[in-house]
Amino acid sequence: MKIESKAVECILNGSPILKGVDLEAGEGELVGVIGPNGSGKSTLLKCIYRILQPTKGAIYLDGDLLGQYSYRESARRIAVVAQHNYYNFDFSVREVVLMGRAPHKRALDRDTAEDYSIVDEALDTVGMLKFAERSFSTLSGGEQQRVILARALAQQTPCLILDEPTNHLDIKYQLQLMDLVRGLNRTVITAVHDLNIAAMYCDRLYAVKNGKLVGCGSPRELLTPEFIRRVYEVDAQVIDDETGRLHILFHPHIWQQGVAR
Amino acid sequence: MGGQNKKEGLFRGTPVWVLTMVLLLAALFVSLLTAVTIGSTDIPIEDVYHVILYKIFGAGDPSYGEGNLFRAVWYLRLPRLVLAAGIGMGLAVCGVVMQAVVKNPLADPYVLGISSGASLGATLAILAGAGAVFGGNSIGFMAFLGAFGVSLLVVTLANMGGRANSVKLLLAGMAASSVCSAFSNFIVYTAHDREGIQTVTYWMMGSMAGATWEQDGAVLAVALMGLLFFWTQHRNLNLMLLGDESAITLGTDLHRWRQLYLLVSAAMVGFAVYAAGMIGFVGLVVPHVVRMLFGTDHKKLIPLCALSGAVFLVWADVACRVLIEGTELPIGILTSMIGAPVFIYLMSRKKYGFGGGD
Amino acid sequence: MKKAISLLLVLAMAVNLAACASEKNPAKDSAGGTSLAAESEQGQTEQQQGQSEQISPTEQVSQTEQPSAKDSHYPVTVTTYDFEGNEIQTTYEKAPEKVLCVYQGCVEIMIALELEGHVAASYGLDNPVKEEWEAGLSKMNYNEDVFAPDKETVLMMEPDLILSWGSIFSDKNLGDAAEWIANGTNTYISSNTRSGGHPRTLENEYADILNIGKIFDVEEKAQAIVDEMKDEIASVLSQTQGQDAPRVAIIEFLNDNITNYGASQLGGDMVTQLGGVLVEPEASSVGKEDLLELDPDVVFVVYMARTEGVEEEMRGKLVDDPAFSDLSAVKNGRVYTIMLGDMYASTVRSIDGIRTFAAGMYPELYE
Repeated sequence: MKIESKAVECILNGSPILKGVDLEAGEGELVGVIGPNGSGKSTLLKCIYRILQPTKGAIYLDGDLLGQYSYRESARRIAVVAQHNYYNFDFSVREVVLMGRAPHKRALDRDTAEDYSIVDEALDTVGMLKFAERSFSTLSGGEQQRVILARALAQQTPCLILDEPTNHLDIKYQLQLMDLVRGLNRTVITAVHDLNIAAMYCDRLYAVKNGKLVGCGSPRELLTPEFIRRVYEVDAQVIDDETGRLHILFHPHIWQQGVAR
Repeated sequence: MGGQNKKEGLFRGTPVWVLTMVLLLAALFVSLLTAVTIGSTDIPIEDVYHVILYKIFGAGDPSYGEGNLFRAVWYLRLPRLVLAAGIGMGLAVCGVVMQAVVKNPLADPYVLGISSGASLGATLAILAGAGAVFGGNSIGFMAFLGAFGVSLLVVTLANMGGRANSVKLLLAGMAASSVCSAFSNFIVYTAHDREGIQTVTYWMMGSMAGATWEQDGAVLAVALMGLLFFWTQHRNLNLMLLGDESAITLGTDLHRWRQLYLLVSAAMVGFAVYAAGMIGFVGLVVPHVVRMLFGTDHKKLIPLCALSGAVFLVWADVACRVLIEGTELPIGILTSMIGAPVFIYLMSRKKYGFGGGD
Repeated sequence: MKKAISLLLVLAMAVNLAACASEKNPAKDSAGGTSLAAESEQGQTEQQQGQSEQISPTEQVSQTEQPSAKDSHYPVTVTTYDFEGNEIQTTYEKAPEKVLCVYQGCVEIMIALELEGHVAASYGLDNPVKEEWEAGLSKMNYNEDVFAPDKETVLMMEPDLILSWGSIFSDKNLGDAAEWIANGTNTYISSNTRSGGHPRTLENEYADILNIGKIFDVEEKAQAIVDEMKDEIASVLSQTQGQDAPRVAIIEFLNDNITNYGASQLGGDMVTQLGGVLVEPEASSVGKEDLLELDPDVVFVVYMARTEGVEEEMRGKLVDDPAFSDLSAVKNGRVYTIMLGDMYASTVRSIDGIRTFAAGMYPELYE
C-alpha cells in the first residue's frame, strides 16, 4: 500500500510544528524519517496515524484521502508501534495482542479460533509465543515492545508505522526489532533517532528539520558529512565499507582540539 | 494469572473463568434460598420454604399464601434479597466501567458527581418537599433525577473548551460534586428541620427496607440490561485502559463511548440509589478482587463482577438484619465497614494500579 | 455456547421475577385518602380477632360495670394520618389488646390512662418515665436494647394497633400505614408529628388524648387529663388578666446555631395560649444579634434530658455567654429551662410543659 503526505502542515498549541512536508512510502518500502528532536518527525507520523489532524495539506492511502476513512477502516490499513507508555494493568500477553484484532470485530462478535491463531502466529513471529500467558507488566522493556509489535502484526495491515519505538531499548532489542520489521515486507514508515540504524535498515530516508523537509533519498545518497552537519550540527565521517554497508562515525569537538587525526 | 487456562478432563477446553461464572450463578441462587431463611425474627425453615413453594409453584398448603408469616417471607425478606442481588450486580458493573472511563482504579460508581447529585435530589425531596407529585417513592425518584442530571451536567462541562477526556471528566465531576454539596448543605442549614435532617442522613446510608416486587422488577431489568450492554462493550473498555491514542490506532475513537458509558452507568446507579439509597464500596472493591484473580480483560471482568457483587450484597443484607438484634443496620455502613479494610489490604498488597506487577 | 447458556439462565431468572413483579401488594395503592374497602375488611378482621382472642382483665372489669356502655360505644371511627400527612379513617370494633407503642409520649399516654395491660411491646424512651409511671412501664414489655423495632419483628408480633409518630411509617421503616390497616393492624400517630407543615398545637395534643380515650373506651379518664390542662391555662389567664403580655423566646442550642420555636411549634402555642407573646413567631432559627435586638422578657432554653447535667449546660450557654450579658432576661434572672419531651409530641406531659412555661412567664403566681 502506498502512503503519501502532501504539503502537510500542523499547528500545535499555537506554534507551527510542521510547515509543509511531502513524503511518500511505496509498496513494501521501509522508509525512515530522520531529524533532530523537535523537528516534527513525531508530529508528522501522528498526522499519518491520525492522532493529530493536519491543519493544511492532506494524507493519502493508495490515492484516497485518509480523512474519509473511519478510524476502524484506517486501523485495518495502518498499524502503529509507538513509544511505549507504562501500562499499569494486568492484561496477559495474549490479551494485549488480541486487542490488535479489534478493528476487525464488531461489538457482538466473539473472538474466534481464527483470531486466536492469528494472535499466536504474531507472537511466534516476534518470538514471544512462550510468554503468551504471562502478565504483560512483568516483561522487560524490550519484550513489551515486541509484544506491541505482535499486536500491530495481529492487526494484519498492509502498512506499519513505528514512532521511535526503540528509544529506551538496549541495543540488542533495537536491532532485534528492526530485523523483525525488515523481514515483514510491508510498507513501513519509521521515525529513527540513530543514523546508523537508519542506514542499516531503511530503503529511503526523509530528513525533517524545523518542520520542513530538508532532504530525501537513499541513505547512501543522503547521508554525507555536509548534510549531517547541516541537519544535526555535528561533525561526522561516513564510511562505505567493502560489504556495501554504511557507517556513520561522529566526531565530537574535543577530538578536534589538540589530538592529531 | 489471567489468560485462558484450560482445564483437562470433564471440562476439557472450558476456560476457568467460564466455570467460575457458572459456579457464581449457582452460588447466587443458593444464597438467595439460604438467606431468605434468615431474618430478625425466628421463622422455621420449613415454613419459609412452604411459602416459597406455594407462591412460585402453587404447590402445597394454601394457608402459606396468607397471614403475617407469608407477608414476612414474601413481602419483606425475599424482595429485599432480590433487590440486593440486582443492586449488587449493577453497582459492581458500574464500578468496573467507571474505573475504565476515568482510567483510575480508585473510581467507584458514584464518581463524577453521581453521589452528590443523588444526595442533592434526596435532600430536596425530604427537606423541601420537591418531587412530591411523584408520590410513593418521591425521595428515590428525586435522587435518580439528581444522579442522572448531574452526569449530564458533567458531560457538558467536560466537553467545554475541547473534547472530553478522562482527566477533564474527572475535573468536571469534582466541580459538579462541589456545587451539589454546597446546595445540599445550604438546604440542610436553612431548613432547620431536625427530623428531616436525620431522615436525609439515614436515607443516604442506604437500606433495602421497603423493597417491593415492582421496584425489584425495575431495578433488575435495568441492571441486567446494563450488564448485557457493557458485556458487549468489553473491547472498548479494554481499549480505555490503553489510552485514547492507542485506541485510535486500534480503530476506535473513545471520546463518545466514554460519555455514553458514563450516562448509562449513571442511569443504572440512579436506579440503585432510587431503590436503596447510597451503598458504597461494592463498586470499588469487587472489581479489584476479581481483577486480582482473573486479570483485567473486561470480557471476563464484567460478568464475574456482576455475579460476585450480587452474592456479596445478598449476604450483606442478611448481616444487616441479624447483627444487631431486633433492628437493622443501614447497609451502607456495613459495606463500608467491610470494604474499607479490604481496600486497605488490597492497597498494601498490590501495586497501586489496575493490578499490574507481581 | 457457554456464554449463551449463562445468558439464558440469567434471562430465565429475570423473566421469572418479572412474572412475580406483576403481583401487586394488596392495598398498597390505597395510600392516603379514605378506603372504605379497608374499613370493612378491617371491621371483619377485628370481629374475628375479637371472637378468638382473650379479653384482658381491664376490659373485663369495664365490661361488667357498664355493659350497655360497651355495646353502644363501639364501633368507633378515628381520624389519623399516614406518613405523607394525609388523613386516614380507622375503625375499632373493640379496644385493641396487642398495642405496640414507640416513642416517649406514646408509651406514657398508655400508662397515664392505665392501659398497660393492652400493650404487647414498647420501645423508644428518650428519658426515664415519671416515678409514678414506673410501675406501669414494667408491665409494658419495654425493650431497652432496641430503640425502634424493624418491620419483620413488628409483623411477627401481630399487633392490633401501632401507636407512634408519623416518621415510623416511612418506606424504610414500618412502611405504609394504610397497608397495616388493611391487614388488620390499626395505626395512630401523634397528631403533632403529622408531616406536611401543619402547625403543632395544644389542640392536637388534646385531640390525641381524647382519641386514645375513645379507642380504648376510657373517655372519662382522658377527658380528665385534658381538663386538667385546660383548667391550668384558664386559671393562669384569669389570674394574670390585665397584665402586660410577657415577651417570650423559646430557643435551643444546636451545634453552632440557635433554633427558635415559633408560633407553629407546640411550645410556641403553649406560650401563646398562656397569654404570652413570642418575640420571634416565624423564623426557625435566630442569630445572637437578633436575640439581643429582640430582647425578650423571658427566655426558655430547651434541652433533651438524655444525660446528667445537660440542663445546666444548656442554660449556661445563655447565661454564661458574655455576648448575652446585656440581655434583659439574663440580667433579671428570667432564664428558664424546659425539657423537650414536655413540649414536643408530649401527650400527657403537656401539663408539665404548660406549668413550666406559666411559672417562667408569671413567677409571682407560683411562689
